[in-house]
Amino acid sequence: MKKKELKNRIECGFSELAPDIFEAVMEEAEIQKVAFCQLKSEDTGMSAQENADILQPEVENSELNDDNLFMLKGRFMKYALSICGVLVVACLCLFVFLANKKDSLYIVLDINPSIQVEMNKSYQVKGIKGLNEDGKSVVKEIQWKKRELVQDLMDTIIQDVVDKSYLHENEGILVTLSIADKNICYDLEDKLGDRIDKKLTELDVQGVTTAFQKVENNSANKGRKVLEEELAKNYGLNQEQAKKMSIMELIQYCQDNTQLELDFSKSSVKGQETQKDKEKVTKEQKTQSKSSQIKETTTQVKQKDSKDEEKSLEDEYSENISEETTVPFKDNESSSGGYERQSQKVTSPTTTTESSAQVTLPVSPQTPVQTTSPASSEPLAESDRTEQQESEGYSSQNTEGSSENDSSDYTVNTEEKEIKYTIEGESEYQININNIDSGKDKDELVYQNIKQITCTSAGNINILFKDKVIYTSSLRVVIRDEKGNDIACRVVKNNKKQMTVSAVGMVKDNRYTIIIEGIHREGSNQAVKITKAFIAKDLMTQSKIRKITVKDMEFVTLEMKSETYYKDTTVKVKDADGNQYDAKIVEKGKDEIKVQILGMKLENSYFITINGIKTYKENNYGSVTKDFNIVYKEIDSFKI
Amino acid sequence: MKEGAQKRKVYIDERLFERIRQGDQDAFRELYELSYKPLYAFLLSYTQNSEDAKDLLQDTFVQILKKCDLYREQGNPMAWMMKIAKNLFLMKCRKEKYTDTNYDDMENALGFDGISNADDRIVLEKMFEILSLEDRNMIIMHDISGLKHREIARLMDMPLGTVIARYNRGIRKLQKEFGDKL
Repeated sequence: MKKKELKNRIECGFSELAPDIFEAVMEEAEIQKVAFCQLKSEDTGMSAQENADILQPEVENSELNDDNLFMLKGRFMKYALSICGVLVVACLCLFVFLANKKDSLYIVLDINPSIQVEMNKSYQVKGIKGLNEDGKSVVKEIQWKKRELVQDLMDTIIQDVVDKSYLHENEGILVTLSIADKNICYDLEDKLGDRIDKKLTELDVQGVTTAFQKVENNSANKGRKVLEEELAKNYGLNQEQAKKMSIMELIQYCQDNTQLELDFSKSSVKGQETQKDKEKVTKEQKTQSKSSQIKETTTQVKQKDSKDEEKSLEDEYSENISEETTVPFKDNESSSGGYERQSQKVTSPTTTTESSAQVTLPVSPQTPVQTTSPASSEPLAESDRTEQQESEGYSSQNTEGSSENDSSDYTVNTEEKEIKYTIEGESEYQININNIDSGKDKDELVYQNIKQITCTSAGNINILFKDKVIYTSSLRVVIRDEKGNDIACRVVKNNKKQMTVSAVGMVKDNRYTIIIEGIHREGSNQAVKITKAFIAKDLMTQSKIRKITVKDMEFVTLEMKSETYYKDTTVKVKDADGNQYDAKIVEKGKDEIKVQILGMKLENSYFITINGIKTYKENNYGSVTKDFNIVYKEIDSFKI
Repeated sequence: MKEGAQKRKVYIDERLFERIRQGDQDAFRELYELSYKPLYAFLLSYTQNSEDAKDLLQDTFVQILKKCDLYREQGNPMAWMMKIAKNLFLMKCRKEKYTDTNYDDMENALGFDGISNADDRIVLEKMFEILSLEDRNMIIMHDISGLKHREIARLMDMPLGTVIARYNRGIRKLQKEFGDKL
């Protein structure tokens, strides 16, 4: 059919179909009192002009106007609602984006490669970014995983920069923390510092100074640029000059010429002190070379006779005993029964024995004696002791200084309960060490203020204190496993009676030690360190076993419902009577675990428990238990 | 009177509105005679129901009568009148919540039985059966109402290309459907 013909047919069809409703229109118009009602009335004598006058207001107040208004309103409402909807969605997106941003913590590592690490509050890495060309090349090549702990990532980065010769001996590392929460900041500083020191020791890179600076979370500058700007702004250092300086030079400049607060890792502090000591000793040697008089002083066992003094000391001890984790010095049976807690801020090589021992160093009248805890509760190895002394703010200045001069020596005579010290110099020190507590007493004292530690299924640790405590700004919590590795943790809630710590990476039924620093008992001003061991009992995981298949009466494959992660994974197999079977994990996959079990028998039911697994979303590792039967269909049919 | 305008299929003299405003009933009658068929076709295409189309046609002319003083000369009054018809239909839809009906249900409602010529009836039936609303409207507006593609594009808020494409697609579909049958 031709187009024209088609059009004709359509036109004809509609022409025939369209009804002539003119009369109806006119009637409707009349009902609605529209213009033609008046026009009709022209016949009845009204003029067209009068009709026109009536028409105008009619039109203005017409229904269509109202309808159009409604349409406009409807349309307007539609658009308005759409715009509102879009705005709400945009606001939500912005909020979520900002909330995520806010949750993120940033650290910038400046060696020469400058690398920015973004992480969450559990120190799990969200992303890393190279801030300069070297940084980008390092980031491109290192292997890292999302949700990996930042300490582990730090290991990888340090390994890489040392391998690529970016970091050498006696150079510096600047770690910039963009974290608003001070507690997290201090905690992270310690953890990262320890980990970097450990890694550098492992790689045998010595003399590296690790400095930490804190910047505001929303700071536009990153890493060393913050320091450069600060130095240029407040200390008149040329910015160009600052840019050319190495990290070590920058750190050195800050230390020598500014009052900027840079924190250092433990080994950096040690290194710096050793260096300073050496310098000092050299100077002293020079000045004293002319009149070198070696003054030998013998330390003798002294007993205090004054009962008042003893009592006061006893009172002091009993007041602090519940807070102090350091060991109090218990009176020797043979002595007059007093508690003496005198020690020197300046370290003397303290030697402790399990039997009663007293050390008396000559006390200098010029040097005030400070009452700080001097030593650990149990006999320590020499290196441990030094480390502990240093960690507690003890300097190794005199010891090292004296040993350099070869003019100090000390003898310990445990049988005679007498320790002799000879220290060069004018200062004389006195340390009285009486009997040291036995392990049992010590434990009671150490744990005294912690009433209970419970572990929730989600991995939070609730610590209930016996007495009300007050937290200082240097509050720090460390959770350490049996191997001495730190577990990432942070304080999520604390009040006077209770503290909740969130941890990442704990394994169910493993033993951990929690160390809390920077708290003191209500009513006391002395911040103490509390240590307590606990077992992570109630950790749970959402990991579920979908299916168990047994092969060759020996190998059991557990098909998991979701992706599974492992840590210190162990397996236990028991039968219905409670007999335990030898079992070991032979293969750990993302979705399945293969276990070898020895001694299984047909038609027996077994319970298998896998501990140390978790799903992707979880922080800690729990256990799953499932029972299974071994039934061979062929054998069953054979029996029938 | 413009020469080009007179070539239109449906030519409506814009001066009619002036006459209607002055109360000339004959002018309104003339306007009605010229436009009621295309308007009905257009409304029937939308409503797919002869009774509804009839009601809307009546309302359209009442509104034209009411609103004639608001008419501004814009070339073709048919586009303005169709806009009113379309708006009335949309208002009715909002009020009654029109739902799509299948062709079998609407076949009787269209009122094609009244067409005496069987071929004409078949063409219209096929037009409503196989063409989409948009394609159908393009044919009605262009071939029955005599609107130019450009005017249709403006009226329907569509790009000119879309209007032409839809019109041609509708015609081609019908041609293909009938082939040599008629």
